[in-house]
Amino acid sequence: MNLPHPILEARGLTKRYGDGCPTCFDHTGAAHGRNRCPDCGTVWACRDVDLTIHPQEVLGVVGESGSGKSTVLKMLHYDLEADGGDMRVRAEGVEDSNLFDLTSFRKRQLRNAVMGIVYQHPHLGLRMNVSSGGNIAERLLMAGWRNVGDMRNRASELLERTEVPVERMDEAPRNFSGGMQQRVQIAKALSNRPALLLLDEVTTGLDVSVQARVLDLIRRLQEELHVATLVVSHDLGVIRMLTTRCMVMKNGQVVESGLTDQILEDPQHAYTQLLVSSALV
Amino acid sequence: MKLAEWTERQTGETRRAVYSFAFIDEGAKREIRRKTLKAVAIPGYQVPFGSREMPVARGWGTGGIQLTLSLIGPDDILKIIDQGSDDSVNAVNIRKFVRSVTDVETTTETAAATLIQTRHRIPEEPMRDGQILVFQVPIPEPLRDVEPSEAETRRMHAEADYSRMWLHLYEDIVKYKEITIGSRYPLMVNDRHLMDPSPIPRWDCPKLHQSETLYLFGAGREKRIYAIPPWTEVEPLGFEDHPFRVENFEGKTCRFCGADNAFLDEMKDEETGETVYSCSDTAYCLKVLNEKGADS
Amino acid sequence: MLTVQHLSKTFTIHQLDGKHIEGVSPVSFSVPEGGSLALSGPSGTGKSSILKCLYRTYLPTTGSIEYESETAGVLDLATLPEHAMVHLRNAEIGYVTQFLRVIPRVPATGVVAEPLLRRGVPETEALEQAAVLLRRLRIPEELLDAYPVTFSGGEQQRVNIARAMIARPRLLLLDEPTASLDKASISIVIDLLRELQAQGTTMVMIFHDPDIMNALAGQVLSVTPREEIPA
Repeated sequence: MNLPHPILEARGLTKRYGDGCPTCFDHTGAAHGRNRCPDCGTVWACRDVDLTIHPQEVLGVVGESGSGKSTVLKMLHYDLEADGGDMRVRAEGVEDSNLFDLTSFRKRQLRNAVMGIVYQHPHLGLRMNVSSGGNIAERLLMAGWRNVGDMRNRASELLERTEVPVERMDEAPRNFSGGMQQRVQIAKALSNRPALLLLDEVTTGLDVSVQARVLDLIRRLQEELHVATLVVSHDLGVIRMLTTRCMVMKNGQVVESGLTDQILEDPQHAYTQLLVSSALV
Repeated sequence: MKLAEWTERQTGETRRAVYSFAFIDEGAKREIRRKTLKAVAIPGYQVPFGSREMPVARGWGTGGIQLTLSLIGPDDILKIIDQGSDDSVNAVNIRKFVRSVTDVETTTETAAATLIQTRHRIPEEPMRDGQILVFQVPIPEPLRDVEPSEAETRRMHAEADYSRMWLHLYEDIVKYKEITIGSRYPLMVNDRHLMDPSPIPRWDCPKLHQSETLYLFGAGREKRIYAIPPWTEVEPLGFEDHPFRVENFEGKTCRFCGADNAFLDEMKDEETGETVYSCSDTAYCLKVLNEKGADS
Repeated sequence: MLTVQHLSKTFTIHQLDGKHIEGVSPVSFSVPEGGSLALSGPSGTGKSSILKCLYRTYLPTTGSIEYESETAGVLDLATLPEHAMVHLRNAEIGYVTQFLRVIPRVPATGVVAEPLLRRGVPETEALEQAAVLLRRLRIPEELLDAYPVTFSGGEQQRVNIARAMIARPRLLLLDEPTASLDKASISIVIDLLRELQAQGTTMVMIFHDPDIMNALAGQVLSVTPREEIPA
């Protein structure tokens, strides 16, 4: 089988708050039901996580709050500095070395060129007082675009795609509903045609009907653009709808990973079984 | 000049003898000169310096004064201007002060000066090699209006991440169909650092590009020195379809000298109430008038 | 084409103190390329679980599932890396049950066309093929662009069948896809499946109706009732 190489390969992702001590791992992790070491107080937000995403693939990370799933995503996006691990991205113009070791200047360039992110809270991904078009233009400007007309064309094309009324392009997202803010965020994330899309709890906190529209949009964009995507969510319904493979995290560790339908129908780990049996769907 | 020599040269005015030549002590001068050299070496980069107390309040040109005092020698010919005028209170007082601590010759003629300190203008008369123009700078940080955090603006300079400023210009165009920045227009220096040229009008910005003259910028309150050495690339930010442009004075001339190629101040004629224009650079205006007088 | 050896499935329920439930007692069989095998036996013998193991919706507990793939030789579906399994599902293996489990808010033609889109067929062409197939399955014209969640059970099943068949998989797993279809629809489905067989599709199927089974299956495997294992 001639399978494409992974577009993202991360090994040993680790993030801790505190210095750690020799007995940390005797007390923390999924097996111990906590991520804070009782001896030294170090919190292991995420420990030794491996993940791989192939071209066109949608990988899910599911777990309760505090499981470390968002930490993983934020390290990949350089929002948090990794305390350990190795990240490689196979895309044009990306060096074949541990991308955590780059200079902050290069990290910024790379992030802008290769990744797109949508946060749960729109204010993390958007400048609320800058027009929606401007929010999209910012990423284009970072990539060196210097023609206002071209940027406006690209922005209106993206807003149309994400079902934001184009006539509101010059309005600030501050004035928009939560669902529409999310759609502007998605448009911004896609502006530079990223090789990797990161979605962090994108529908959490939205009304159910709005959630449905945002999910539909993401799925449709997925079908059209085939962009490799990491979906982080506590919601098994979101994971079921968007992903083909997923990983289950608890207390900073991956307890199980597999095909999404297998995780949902034949969960192996006790925690996953609990998660699946607790889900409303 | 050593302090002893300087003291010796004093003729009875003993009250000045307690000061070094050019007021500030030699150690401070050396520090400012070192920082100035660093600024020249990294065009557009803001070099922190130990801004001293001056006999005027910070915010009244103390950055420019410290640069001037650290640079000036007994043979310099000094010109001080304030928004183009040699005669404003600020210019007159700084000139008096520098003269009283150095005894240098002063002038209002741009061409005659070796050292010019300015507030918010570049002289109309082209400056040449061998001259130095010192700017008084209120806000050295070009990104301050788009980013309040100093830590963040330093990061942005370090990474040459100027997208926020570009975004500001984009938003300006969206709102007003043009870039509305009148003064303190952001400039890209040597293709690396974004720089605030002090509140000079857009009109003066092109004069900074590939110039014969050394431009030094001093911000006393903010404790920063930066520079544009001669023959440096200086490019005002602009878009392909909304390029940088200077103020348009088409069809307007100076009411005194008739100049149609100078930056003009707009004012109301007190008697007739009509809008009239005059050269902002008064020395230039006078020069044009004199030349006209000589011709006729 | 498909050789299953000692395949078994045991569920461990951690919430019930690690209780073991046997899903599939060890089973072995093989199906030649283009052949079709029916699993028969009373309810609760784990027939559906076998199909789910073949499709990797269940992780087999023991045994191997050797599958002769089109491009990569013989692969063990029990241990194949997940992304490779995803690739096989997209490219070669179809699975259809009596339950429609589709993405909500997608019209019937979209649901059916999706496997084609994943294989890179242009959208208009894929939708056109989907409409043709749905019409053949007697889905009323006005339902083609409606959401299948609103359909009757029989209509939903036909959408499901169309979706599984449209990309002409090399291996098709059928789990009672005709359970609530009327006679006329069943015979259309049988015709369609026979066409696929004629084109070389290998099938593993579960049909309770012996007539359907006899019409489609080349061989029949009796699955014996599983035994309770003491925890």
